[in-house]
Amino acid sequence: MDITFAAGGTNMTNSQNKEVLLKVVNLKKWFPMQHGLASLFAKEIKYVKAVDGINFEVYKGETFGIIGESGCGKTTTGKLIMRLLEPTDGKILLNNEDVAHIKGKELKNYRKNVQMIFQDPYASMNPRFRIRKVLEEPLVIHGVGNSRKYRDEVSKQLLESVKVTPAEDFMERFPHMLSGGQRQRVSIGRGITLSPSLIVADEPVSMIDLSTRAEILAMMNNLKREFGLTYIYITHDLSTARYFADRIAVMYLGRIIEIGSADDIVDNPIHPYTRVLINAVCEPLPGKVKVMKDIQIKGEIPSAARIPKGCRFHTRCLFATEDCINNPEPELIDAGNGHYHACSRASYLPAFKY
Amino acid sequence: MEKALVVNNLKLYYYTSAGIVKAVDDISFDLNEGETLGLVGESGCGKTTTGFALLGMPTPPGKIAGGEIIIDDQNIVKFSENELRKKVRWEKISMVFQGAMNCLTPVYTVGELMTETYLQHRPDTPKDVIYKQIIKYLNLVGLADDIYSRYPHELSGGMKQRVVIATALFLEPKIVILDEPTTGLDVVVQAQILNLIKELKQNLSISSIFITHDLATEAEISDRICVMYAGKVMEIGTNEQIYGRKNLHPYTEKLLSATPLLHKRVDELSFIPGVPPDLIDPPKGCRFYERCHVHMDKCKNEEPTMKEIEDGHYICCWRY
Repeated sequence: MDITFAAGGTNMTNSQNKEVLLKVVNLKKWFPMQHGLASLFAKEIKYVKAVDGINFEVYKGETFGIIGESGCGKTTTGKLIMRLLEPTDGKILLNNEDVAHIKGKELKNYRKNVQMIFQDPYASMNPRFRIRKVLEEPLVIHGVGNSRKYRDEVSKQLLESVKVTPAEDFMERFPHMLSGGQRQRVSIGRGITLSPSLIVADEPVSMIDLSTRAEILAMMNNLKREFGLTYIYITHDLSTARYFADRIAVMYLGRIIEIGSADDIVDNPIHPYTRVLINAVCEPLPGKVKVMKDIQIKGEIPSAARIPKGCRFHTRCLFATEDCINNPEPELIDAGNGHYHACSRASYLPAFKY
Repeated sequence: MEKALVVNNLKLYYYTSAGIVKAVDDISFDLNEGETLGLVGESGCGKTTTGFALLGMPTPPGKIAGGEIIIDDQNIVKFSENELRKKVRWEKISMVFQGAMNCLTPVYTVGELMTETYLQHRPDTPKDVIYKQIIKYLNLVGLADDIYSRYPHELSGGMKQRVVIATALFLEPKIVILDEPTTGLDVVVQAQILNLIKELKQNLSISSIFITHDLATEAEISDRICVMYAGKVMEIGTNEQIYGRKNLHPYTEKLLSATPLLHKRVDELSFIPGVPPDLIDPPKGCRFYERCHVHMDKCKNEEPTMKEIEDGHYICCWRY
């Protein structure tokens, strides 16, 4: 596949001055369905195509949102970027260096540069570690600063950055003594301990109470400015993605089907699937009790082991024609202004309204 | 309007070794026939506890410590466990439990699961009557007849949630409590389930209580909203009064402005600093005092009372 094709390509007018931090080229992760002996006897090995050829670029200093329903491959994408998984095919370029298949020491060094914030703050911390140790762990693993005093100082500053204060007090506590919001702050602090350049945040606020959710996102924004971070924000929640992300990629069954600025995706979606997602969002506004939501989609999401041929959305699309089934899968089409979509019938679709 | 349910001064306390947790403390509200009442609040505000109390089954070590729950002119708080089982649960009031769709026993088919529920409440019913009733309700929630003989693992999340809703409805209670029925579902499926609940409301004229932490979902479904905080009711108003965003309780106001709107880009969302109070030793005055942005001296020591500030709009705040 042509590399320059990657969505958000360098020829985009609004991105000429932006530095590309991460570039993902034709990335694939196929999980085999037969293992070991079974794979020897199988006529043909079948795969769950969790991520099936995606391209995108993340610019330095931006927040790049990846949204989609469960099973669309957004978390797998995050894990691939983190290199918790090894891709089946494709490239992951961080600062122009391909990290798709690095191992050992190289991989360890790479992870210093890319960190992750997990969804569940209750499960992502060792319950027997004090907060001090939770925050020190990355420093110990990567051998940064060998004195206890240095590490303590760093941990203290981190806690202050993520506003878990008084820091001295919290350092001696165990995770169970903290509220969900405080734990997620600590987990964000742990993410920035090694001053990485990229942070993959996988649903960082979906388990946080509404009243503190906004606070955590605002804090993440401040940290971004303060430490010059770049985020990949993986979520199913469009409302926070619109608020938090600069650009959004929408995934469906392992593919990116639309990508563009957050405003374009929400106000001017092109792909029928993106439109469904946007119309499905509930908004806290009056006068909707007696109105049925207009959800223009049919059926259920197909299994990633049996991806429909042609456009992979055709089984659920209300606008699909014979061509959508018979023609090869559409590639991303440029709609201008850094907005790309994968619907070959876009010009025949009715105007979008919400 | 006829009242389907009246709750007066309900108290539900958890008697733990650390002390008495006043999870639901002196709350009153009512539910009109055919309407949907939304119970919203943060986690730990007592909304699910209230739901369990309405079925007369507080989770141990919880106990109903006072107040009354009136359904059909009878106070069910006084009922014995046996009476509750025979006359109240699923006969008058049923519940879609939070996450119930993930708790369907994997070794039984949908038909067997539903038949079991039916027989528990109405033993000695002929099999074919039960079968007909199950099929009727499966169809009502938009599922085909063949789902009867399917196992839970063969169904998607949305289908399982429909089965759970059918199970809550098929003994034809007049009140249904829905506890976070859309949480954990994908946004598209969520919208479909909300449409289903709206449809059922019109066709079966059931009264329901919709419990959620999400004000946006509540806006879609509830005729009236009851906002809870730290075991107390802070505000009750119609959908228009609450989401019209005029004259709100400071807590509701803050919660609403912390909820992002999809079609309006904002630079900063507001949030509520601090955490809810400890319910073992709740504050003397207003329970929201610590986190309130417009608190006064009076709020610290004197507990506010419910006031009706306009027709059907009740607020528990000294500012009004």
